[in-house]
Formats: sequence, C-alpha cells, structure tokens
Amino acid sequence: MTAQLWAVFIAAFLASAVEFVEAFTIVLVVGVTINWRSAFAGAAAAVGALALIVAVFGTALVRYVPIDALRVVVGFLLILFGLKWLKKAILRYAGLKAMHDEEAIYEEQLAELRARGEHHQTRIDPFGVATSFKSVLLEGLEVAFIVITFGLQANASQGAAAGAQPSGILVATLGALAAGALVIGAGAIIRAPLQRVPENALKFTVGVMLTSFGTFWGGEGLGIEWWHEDLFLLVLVAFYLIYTWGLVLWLRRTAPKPPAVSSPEQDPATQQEALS
Amino acid sequence: MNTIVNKVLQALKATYNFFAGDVSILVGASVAFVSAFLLIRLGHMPNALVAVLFVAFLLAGLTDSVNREIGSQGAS
Repeated sequence: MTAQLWAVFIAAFLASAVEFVEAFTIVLVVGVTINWRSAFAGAAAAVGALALIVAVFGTALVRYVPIDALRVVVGFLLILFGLKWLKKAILRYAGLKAMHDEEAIYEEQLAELRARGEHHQTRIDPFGVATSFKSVLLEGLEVAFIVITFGLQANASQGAAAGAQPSGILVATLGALAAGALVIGAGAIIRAPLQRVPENALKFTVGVMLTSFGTFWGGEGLGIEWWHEDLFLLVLVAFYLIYTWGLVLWLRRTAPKPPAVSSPEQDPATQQEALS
Repeated sequence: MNTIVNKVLQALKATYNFFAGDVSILVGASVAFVSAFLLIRLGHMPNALVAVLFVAFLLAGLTDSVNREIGSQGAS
C-alpha cells in the first residue's frame, strides 16, 4: 500500500472513530432502555444506508466528473469539513467551548427515553430502531462524505500512475469499518459511554489532515504546482499544526473565559454546548 | 404553498449546516478558490505567490470564524 493510501486509511479511521463514539452513545441508550435487538437493527440499517450512499455517489462522481473538476470539488469539501472540525477543537482546547461529554449526553438521552415511557421489552420496538438508525445515519453522513472524497482523490492519483488499480474508496471504507469495529467492540465490552476516547485530540488531528489534503488537492485542481509535489503535504500539515496550535495558545491567554460552573448538570447552557 | 417553501428553506439550511455551517469559513474558502483560479488563469502570477495567498485566505476564514465565536460569547 502506498503512503498516500495509508494516509487515506488513517484519516478515514480517525474521522470515523470520532463519529462512531458519538453515535454509539445513543445506540447504547436504546440498548439499555429498550433492547439490544432494536438498537442493533437500527444501527445495521443505517450502516447499510451509508454504504449505499458511498457506492452510489462514489461511482457516479468517478464516471461523470472530470478529474480536475473533481479535485477542486473534493478539495473544497475537505477544506470546509476540516476547518469546521478545527474550529470546534480550537475553541475546546482554548477553554471557550465545553468538551464533548458522552456521559452527559448518555444521561440526557436516557432521561428523555424514560420520560417518553419507553421501557425494556423483548420484541423489536420501532421507536428504538428509528432512534438508533437516526443517530448512526446522522453521525455517519459526514464520514460517508469523507470516505467518498478521500477515496476518489486517491483513485485519481492512482489512476495517474500507469497500470495501478484504483482502490481509494475501498481503502477509505476499510478505515471507517475498522474504526466502527473498534468502537463497537470496546463499547460491547464496557457497556458504558466511551468517555476516555480523546475526542478533541482526534477532532484536531482529523481537522488538520482534512484541511491539508483539501488544500493540496484543491490547489492542484486549480493549477497550483506544489514544491516537491506530494512531499509538500507534510509541509502543509506542519504549517497548519503550528498555526492552529498558536491560535489555541493565543486564545488561552487573551480570550475572555465563559463563567465557570461546577458541573454540567447544574448549568443547562453548558450541557447544551457539550452536546453540539 | 408556504409549507413547501418552508420545507425547501429547511432543506437548504440543513445542507448549508452540513457542508459549511459557518459563513466565515465558507467565504474564506470560496475567496481562496476563486482568487487562486483567477490569478493563475488570468493574472499569470508566480506559482509560489498564488499558493501563499490560497493558504492565507483559508486561514483568514478560520481565524475570523473563531473571532466571531468569541465576540458572540462576549456579547451574550
């Protein structure tokens, strides 16, 4: 496997891990409150829908969009996703936004389902299936787009090399599936929200990777010739890391801090922040 | 009729939130792509300068977005 395919695998794996952790919390609530059959049925249906989206969009884009236009579109989308993730991670590292709290989300969703009168049962429950389906689909949609964009670009780069069999989408999908298997496996063992996953560090890393790849591929599509070609990706990664971490340090020193509260349960605003 | 318009607006808003969700980032990225395209195709600017401007516009969008977030927190 080439260095670029490894980078695609790692980016898809990390991005998927973050989203799967968030989706798993809701699946867990459904499993604990209603039953595991409903939780897994909803999750499996959502994974199927996501696979269909990747297959349909991936194939259509490869067939009908010219390579340079594809590079520009892919680069633009990756930059939008990457900068959005980076912004959230920067604000959280700087202490301006509450850290994503899986335990708080778990408790809130649990209370919501119990308030609806949901209780443990043996039969498949449509509401439980729908809740699980919705959470996995919504969290997974962004991953699906990341898999498509990364995979397509890797396909395009491989296509440029003579005799290579394009496998970018497959590698990106494998990265996402590996993350899914890891999160579900860990969750099935501990049967609790995955609080110890360093979500913000993952978000920050993925944000830098998406932005760097987006800049590189988008620029290439526009006609920019990067110095030392693929090696310049490392320069972009280092530059974005230094700039964004510098922004975090600057914000920590200068930005006004939001009023401190002792726990998320005592402050609904903080609780809401943690959920987004 | 109003219901259809509302549904279309909701769909547009959901699409915007999914892909961008932040006006500064969207504007920064759009300006970076359009200006790089124009500078290369029409301006025949040196490659290195276009690359620097391209990255600078992206970072300007991110920095402005973070600043606006802090501003809105300070105001509330």
